[in-house]
Amino acid sequence: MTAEILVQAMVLGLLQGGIYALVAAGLTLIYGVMKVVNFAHAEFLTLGMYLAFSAYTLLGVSPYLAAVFALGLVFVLGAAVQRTLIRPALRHPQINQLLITIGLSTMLIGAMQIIWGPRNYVVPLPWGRATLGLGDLRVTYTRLIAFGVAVAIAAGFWVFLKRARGGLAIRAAAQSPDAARLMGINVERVNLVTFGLGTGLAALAGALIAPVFFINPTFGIDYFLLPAFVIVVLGTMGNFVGAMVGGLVIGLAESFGGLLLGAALRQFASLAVFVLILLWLPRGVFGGRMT
Amino acid sequence: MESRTSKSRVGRRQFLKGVAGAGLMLAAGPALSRVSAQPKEVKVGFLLPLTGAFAEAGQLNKQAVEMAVEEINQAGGVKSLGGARLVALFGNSSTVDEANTETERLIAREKVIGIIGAYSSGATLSSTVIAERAGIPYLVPNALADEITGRGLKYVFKSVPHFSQFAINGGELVRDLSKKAGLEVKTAGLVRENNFFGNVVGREFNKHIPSFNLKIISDNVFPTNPTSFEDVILRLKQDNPDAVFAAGEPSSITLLFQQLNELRYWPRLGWVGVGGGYSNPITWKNLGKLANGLIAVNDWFPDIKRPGAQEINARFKTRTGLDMLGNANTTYAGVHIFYATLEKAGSTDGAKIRDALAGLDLTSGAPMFMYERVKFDQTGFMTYAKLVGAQVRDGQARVIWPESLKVTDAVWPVPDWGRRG
Repeated sequence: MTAEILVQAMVLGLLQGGIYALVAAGLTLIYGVMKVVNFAHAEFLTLGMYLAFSAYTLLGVSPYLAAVFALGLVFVLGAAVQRTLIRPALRHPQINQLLITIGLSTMLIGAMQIIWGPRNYVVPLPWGRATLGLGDLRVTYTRLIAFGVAVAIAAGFWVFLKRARGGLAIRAAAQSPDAARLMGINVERVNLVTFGLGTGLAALAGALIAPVFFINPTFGIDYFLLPAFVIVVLGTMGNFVGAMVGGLVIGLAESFGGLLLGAALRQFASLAVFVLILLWLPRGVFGGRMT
Repeated sequence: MESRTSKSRVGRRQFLKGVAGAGLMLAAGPALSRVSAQPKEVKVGFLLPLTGAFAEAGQLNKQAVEMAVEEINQAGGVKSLGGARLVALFGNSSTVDEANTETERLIAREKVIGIIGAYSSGATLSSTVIAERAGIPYLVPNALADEITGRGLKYVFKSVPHFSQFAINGGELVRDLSKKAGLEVKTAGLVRENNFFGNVVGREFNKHIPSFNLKIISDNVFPTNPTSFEDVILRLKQDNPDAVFAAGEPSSITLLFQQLNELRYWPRLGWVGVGGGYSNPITWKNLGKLANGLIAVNDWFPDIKRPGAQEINARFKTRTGLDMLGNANTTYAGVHIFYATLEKAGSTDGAKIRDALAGLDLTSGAPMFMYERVKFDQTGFMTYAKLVGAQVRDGQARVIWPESLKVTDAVWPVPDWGRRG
């Protein structure tokens, strides 16, 4: 194994991890605030991919500009879903919310197959295959952009959560909904906005990765749901920074695992890392030791 | 070429005229009492992956079925059954479980007289057993595993090549092309998915490729729904085989080729893809220029020199906008083979249809756009199902192998990414 190949594996693992992180960010946000495990999360990612695809092929709009619209559009859609499907079930047993989001996932996949068909699409950006070469290392610009924007958004969002009033309200509602309500925070509204933001982030991630991958109705659930859940649990459910770190860890574990053990055992490697970390830190990397 | 096309067109018209005549005669008074005793329609079950990862191919196959059924019904339905119309009932075979449930449903509830399917070998292996138990004939025009026939099942027939043929013919193709170009080829790599099909690919290639003095030095298995192929490509880069044999589905091939290009890896001689995924026009369309030079081994390509091939492909393309590939062609042929069987059987009884399939021997009719003859051996396998190789050029597959069926010469070795136009 030459050093060149190892360096390449590391860089590619980090890039993949950044994208995982952005997908997981929305999931962990929703869980953190509402304690709802959103099994339809991956479908919002797929929807974002389709929106970017249609914006580019029908209107000639850059997928990166479309990403902003996808965020807005899916924010509204996500908020509507929260208001009509999630909110009535919030005080019910968690299994109800789980089943609702699983049902929503199936419905969204069906809807996307009706609208866009079962076919695989790619976003035919003319420079989509151009690569940046650093010595022997090669990375496509589309992947670099996806990674760069993912990290920037994650960092920006983290600052928002820490510094802005809205972020404070979200954190307060996450910590104790009842106490937050007593402090005059409109928890219902926080929930609505959080769900919209979480799903919107998934759509944004989808639009960003649309030029890197291909698109079909089950892309999100097939390719990103399991890694996203693993990352969220690894980084402590509900912890935003944890999702970032977890994403990079899983990206690297997959990359090196695939290289050393063979691609078929890639997930074995990443899940082994996951199990080992949970054995040691059952609440995830940022959950602290259990006493 | 021209004369061939026009000849077959006249043939079809004459055929239609004959059919119209037969229809008129049947509609005439004296025949009425006999007609009323016959079923008005016969239901045939089609198992295809209509949702899920293979939905794209499944839906394309469904359109091929609909086209064939329309043609048969427009030409007067099954004449030996008093002009009964064929009715296609579809069942989903996205997973093995689903295929089994749908087979039960089609047989018990819908009372189909035969089943055609089920695209994926795993789903086919299990659903055929259910049909066998019920005494319902099952034609497999689109799943490749060798084991589908030869298990002693009496009601199962397969009209698509065995998977082992892909390994044997793939080896022959690389040997022939290299010999012609005066190149030595010693090593090969494999890229396959970690599922039933991929494991069969591995077994057959590892078994047959060494007999062509080719050593497999890099055997790469990727997980179902891979988010990246970088580890596979980095390993290939390190092992550096002369040629690569690969199998996969359109979605994973798209990602694989994007990343092959991204990492600037290309084997010294070329990349040979086998099976439906690599010969799917959607794959080439999605890949655009990236697909140039790719060699696909498949049972058929639209520009093949067989009667009616271009014409049938053109009709399909008008309906769907796509070439009749990705097993749409074999499924389409399967419907026509089953129709010819029904004409021969003159009955909707499972055992009689089964016997008609076993004794079928066609040398004319629609299936000839793919096969030189339709005849099943003792195990229920159609030995005339053979393979050809084609090279992709600007989204079109041109047949390059074998010599007898080729329309153009192969480019071999295929230049790597940096030296392509």
